Amino acid sequence: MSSTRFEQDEFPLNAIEQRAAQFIEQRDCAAWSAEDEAGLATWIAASPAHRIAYLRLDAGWKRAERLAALRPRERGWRENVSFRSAAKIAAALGLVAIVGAGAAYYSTLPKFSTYATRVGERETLTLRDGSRIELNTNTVVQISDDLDRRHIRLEQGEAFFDVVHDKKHPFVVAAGTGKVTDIGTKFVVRRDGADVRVIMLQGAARFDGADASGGQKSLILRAGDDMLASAEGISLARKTGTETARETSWRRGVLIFHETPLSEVAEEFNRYNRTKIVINDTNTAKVEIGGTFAAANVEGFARVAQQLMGLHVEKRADEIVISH
Amino acid sequence: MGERPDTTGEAANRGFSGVNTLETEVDAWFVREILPLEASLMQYLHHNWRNRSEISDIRQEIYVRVYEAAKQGFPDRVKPFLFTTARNLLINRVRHAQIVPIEAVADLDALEVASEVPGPDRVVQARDELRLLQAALDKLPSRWRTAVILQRVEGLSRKQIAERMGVTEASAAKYLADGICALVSKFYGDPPDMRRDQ
Repeated sequence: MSSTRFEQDEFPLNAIEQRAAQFIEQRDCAAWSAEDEAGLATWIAASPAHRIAYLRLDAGWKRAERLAALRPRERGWRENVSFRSAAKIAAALGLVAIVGAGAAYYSTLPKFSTYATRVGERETLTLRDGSRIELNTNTVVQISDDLDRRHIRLEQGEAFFDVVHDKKHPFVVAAGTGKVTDIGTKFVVRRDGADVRVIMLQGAARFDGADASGGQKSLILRAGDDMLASAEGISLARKTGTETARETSWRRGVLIFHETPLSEVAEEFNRYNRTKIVINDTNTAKVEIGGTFAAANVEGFARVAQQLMGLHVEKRADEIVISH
Repeated sequence: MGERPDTTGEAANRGFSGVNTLETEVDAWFVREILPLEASLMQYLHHNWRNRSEISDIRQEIYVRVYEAAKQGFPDRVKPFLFTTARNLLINRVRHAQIVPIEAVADLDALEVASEVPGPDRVVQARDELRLLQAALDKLPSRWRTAVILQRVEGLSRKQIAERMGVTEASAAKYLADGICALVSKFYGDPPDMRRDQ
């Protein structure tokens, strides 16, 4: 029963394991009778190798039950898309009535898997084409389950994308109402409510989004561009290599500040930690600091604020209050 | 079916009819102590055995030996025991081969110290586990991956998966079974740190 497919090279499956997997598949995915159970027991008793193959696959497959946690949130964006694509198809066909079309197209839509990090976590996903996505703290992305898996939706947070370019299969990152389409690229996308920020590190990409008047706007971003799309429209700044390196230092788990007001420093640390920095007075908020800190080490930062900057630091259960 | 002992680990959750207590205990031990070392073991085998197509058979054989030995008594130090077993098996394979595969073993000296080498042992914390499973899933070929997602994530049956993928039930069964093998091998057998340098 050995497989002759190309997968054989990368995934050498041995016959005993394949048989064990067939039993498990039958048991978990189809009908399973008392005779089947007896058949499994007989097979397992026949050889220690059978028993071990079964034990191992059964243990691992059970662990994989945890994958149920990835079930995409049921409503929301899928419906959204179904409505929009239905509308588009209807428009293309010159149809007027699209009532019920959403349901009809639902089954043909690509499905998406959700990947998420919690506060303080970082995560790297490698896609089948070799493209990589690094998720920053408290981030949710959805990746299409279709064959090329190059449609990404940034639901919240921030992610770095290193895209293997493929002309035929554009790599698209949707964030809110905007979307980034790569043209051979490394870039970071960050979402903050309705605001979408794109920092280009290498190559080029196209951004499509809404301008202030609500009209669609398309622009080409190049390395060093720091673009912000918000309700006020789209703005573009040029950044030096040092600046973009600072903005993306989270990829190494550090935060770099340079003449940064404490209010912003606190905001940054609070993205990565459950213990929150609280600054209540405006004078303290304006104090500017510089330096490199481990993003997770909010206590270390508090010590620096106290000992080197002479600020008053008060630790409470899940917050650190800094004042003059 | 006899009285089942109070063991921990997943093996204890599923007893086999007519299985004696000793084997159930060894099952639990194997799942708890040996499987988490698979990533280290695979790294060791890949490093020391050139013929990759034989590696899953060799792993299987090592596990059988370890399991059989554990029935006589559990070793105090599991990792050195596993690697000593692996080393002996590789050396025997070289010695007993009809045609000595000169390149089969990368470095016999290296084999001597292998059990001291720190490997990527997996102490799986609950929250890491999902991450590791995702990483394993991401490495599967698309048909297997799709089938596994539809089963474990969406909870569909073989029949529903066949319909969703537009294939026969027999094909869906095959994708699922192969997907189970591949997913488990990636989950246990690949180094836990998936981060790659640019």
